Amino acid sequence: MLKQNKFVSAISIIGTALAIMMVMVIIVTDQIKTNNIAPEINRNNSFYLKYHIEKSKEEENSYSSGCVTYNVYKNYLSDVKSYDMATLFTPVWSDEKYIIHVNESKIRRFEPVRLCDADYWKVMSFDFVEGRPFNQIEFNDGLNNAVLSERLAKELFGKESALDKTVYIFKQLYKVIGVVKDVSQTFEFAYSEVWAPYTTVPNFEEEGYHAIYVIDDKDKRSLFYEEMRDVERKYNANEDWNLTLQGPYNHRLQMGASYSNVKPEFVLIILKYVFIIAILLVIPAINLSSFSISAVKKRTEEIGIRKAFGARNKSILLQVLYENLFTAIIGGFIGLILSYFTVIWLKEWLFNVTTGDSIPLVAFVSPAVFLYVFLVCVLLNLISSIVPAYKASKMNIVLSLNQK
Amino acid sequence: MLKHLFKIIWTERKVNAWILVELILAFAILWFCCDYLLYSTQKLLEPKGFNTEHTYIIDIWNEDEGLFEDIDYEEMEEEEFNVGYTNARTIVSNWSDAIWEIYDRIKRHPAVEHASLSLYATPYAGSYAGNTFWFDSISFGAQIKKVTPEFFDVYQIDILKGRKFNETDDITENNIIISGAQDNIYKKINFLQIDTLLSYRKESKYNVIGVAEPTKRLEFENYTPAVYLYLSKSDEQLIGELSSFFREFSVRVKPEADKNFAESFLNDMQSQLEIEPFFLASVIPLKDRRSEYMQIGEYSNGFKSIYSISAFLIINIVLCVMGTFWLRIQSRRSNIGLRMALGASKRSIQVFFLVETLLLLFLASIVAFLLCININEILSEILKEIELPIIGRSEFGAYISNYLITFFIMAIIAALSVWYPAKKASDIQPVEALREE
Repeated sequence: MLKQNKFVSAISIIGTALAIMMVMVIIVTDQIKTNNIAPEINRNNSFYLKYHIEKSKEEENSYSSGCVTYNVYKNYLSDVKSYDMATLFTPVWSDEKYIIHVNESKIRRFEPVRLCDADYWKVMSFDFVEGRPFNQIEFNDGLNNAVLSERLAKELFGKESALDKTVYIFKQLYKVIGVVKDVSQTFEFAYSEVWAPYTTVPNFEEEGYHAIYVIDDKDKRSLFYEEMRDVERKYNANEDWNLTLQGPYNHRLQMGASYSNVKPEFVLIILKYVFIIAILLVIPAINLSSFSISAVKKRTEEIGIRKAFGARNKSILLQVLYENLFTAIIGGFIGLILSYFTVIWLKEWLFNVTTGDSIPLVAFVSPAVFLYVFLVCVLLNLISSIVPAYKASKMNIVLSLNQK
Repeated sequence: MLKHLFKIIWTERKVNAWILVELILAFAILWFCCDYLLYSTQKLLEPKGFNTEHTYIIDIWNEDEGLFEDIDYEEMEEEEFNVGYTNARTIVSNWSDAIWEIYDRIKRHPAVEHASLSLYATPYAGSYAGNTFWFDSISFGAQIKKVTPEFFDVYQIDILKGRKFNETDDITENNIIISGAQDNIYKKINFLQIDTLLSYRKESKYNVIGVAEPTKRLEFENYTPAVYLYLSKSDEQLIGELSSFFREFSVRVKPEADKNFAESFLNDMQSQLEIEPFFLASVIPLKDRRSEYMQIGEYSNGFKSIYSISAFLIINIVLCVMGTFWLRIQSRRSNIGLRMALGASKRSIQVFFLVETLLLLFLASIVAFLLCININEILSEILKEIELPIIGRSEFGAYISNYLITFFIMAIIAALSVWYPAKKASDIQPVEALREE
């Protein structure tokens, strides 16, 4: 059937492939950002507290917003009990680098450092090349232990094992106790080159933090939210400022909360996706429709004969839909392959990462992705073939046979 | 010929309806893309007020940054506080001396033509300080830039009236240089006529000693009115909190020496600029600063979104025009054969197809144009809400230029895509085509 009109078939397949490619780039990007992918393996059960706003009780327009302060964490969030795991850590900003050097050497490196607690290593799942993370006792004692990324360990110590070597971070001497496989910058909460306990920094009570709560049990969640509101009430009773916690948000909502004083709008996030996918599917669909109408027109006599032998309207309708679905699936498959290359090519734009680091391949080859491709193909096919198929099924037998 | 073409378009209206709908939709979306690109190009063509060719930022870090943040003065006894305060004063004056020494050493590097030291003043700087000023009874906000006199040489910012800073301005504190927006006019104030400004609370008075040409923070933005203050040696903002982020050593390199400057400067000066606790961290070309600013300001992403949507639309238009006309030739083989048998040349057949395509595009563009100007405001509101980069202008001049450019782009694409089917059509042998009849 495809061979009947090679040129038009090719054009239809290219059109489908292009549409599927664009949609898949969006879906795969979204998957990488939202699915449980190591090291961030608890995204689906995580609740994020990144920022809060403090409004003055006296002056009306005076407020300050920023990361979670240690005071709020230590004295107020400690009342929250309905969770399975929780961690407190500092965010890693792309423009904030720390000076790192080995022993007394004056060759300095500028690397991001993440300060975290011991439970961070339970919430995240890192792949340790050698060594281990720091534990609760070492964290409490404020031992200067650090974990490095594989890349940094190689740069600092060459081929030698980095374990038990010492390194200067913030002018303090740290012992390397672990080396982890490099983490892509697409992981907002896992990425870093150096990890250290926050208790080792002299002014850790002044730092700004993010907190993640992992709650497996769905029933606990409403209680958890209730406790968070209690935290605000207690704070407002004790302090000079009125506290509004920005969250806790689930993983998708926290992606929208990129500024400390902006509340993410779920409806807008969805609207954006709907709008973009509409543009990407409707325009090729109009294209494909007009081609398959011409194709159906040419086959008027075939349809007429089928009808004369008793085929029902419904089966004619399904026949046209099936045939077009075949083209759509070929196009979809090509589109999926193209989308791999596009994501790799455009990753800096899609994920706002700066260096050429790797994208986790899991996101591309998963049953969910194949299911999405199939669904998008069916959707595109439905939009583009429903009119031609309906027309074909409603053709008048006498007229169509008469054409011969 | 036109009348005949309209007749053909009408008889094939069922197929043409599809191609028209597609062209209308594509035209309408491409219209917004062109609007964005056109607006950006216009902004880009305006003089930006500075020149960053051969300029670099010398990034000097302080290993003891944040030293003062750790000290909690509130909990100190009075005596302890006094000692701490005296110590702090010593450190501050040592650091200050070190910074100006580093500045002198940078100036002495043979490749450096001009060097300046400034606070939150360089082009493409992410940091911004602003204040409100009064001129007569009108108040306006302006960016505050603290600079050494050489700043205007490094970035080649012209002084349109009056003079640049010189050392005497260090003593007479309230001398300033100002610049306005487009044509040095802002809020209907002509900056060239300002002699004195009052501060926000009207407690201090500034003498305007010069008016500089207006500058932008980035090419694609509007001009920002600015007030330049003389950066004095005793300015403590140079060493204060987070200062390494605001403190800017900039250099203009002699054009002939601008080869591998960053690398060779790093090698030459590493040890010379190491004055405890300061050290040379990196040398950043201004064009890197620019792309960083574009990234943070979402300009890069905006352009990429626009480019990819435009590319997608253009490919679809190509496929649509090619496919539709390919099918049309097949159904009109006999028609074409007859025309050729009656003496039509190959060329005239091709022109016939071309004009038919352009005519369809023209019809679509008129509908899309009316659609665009009527839903412009609503649609651009929606598009803005979902964070697509949209300008959303509603000036008649912009409509016309947008229309022309969008039509021009689409016409070229449509003409190119109809070429192959048209050529195929003109290759038809009249005899064969007629025999099929």
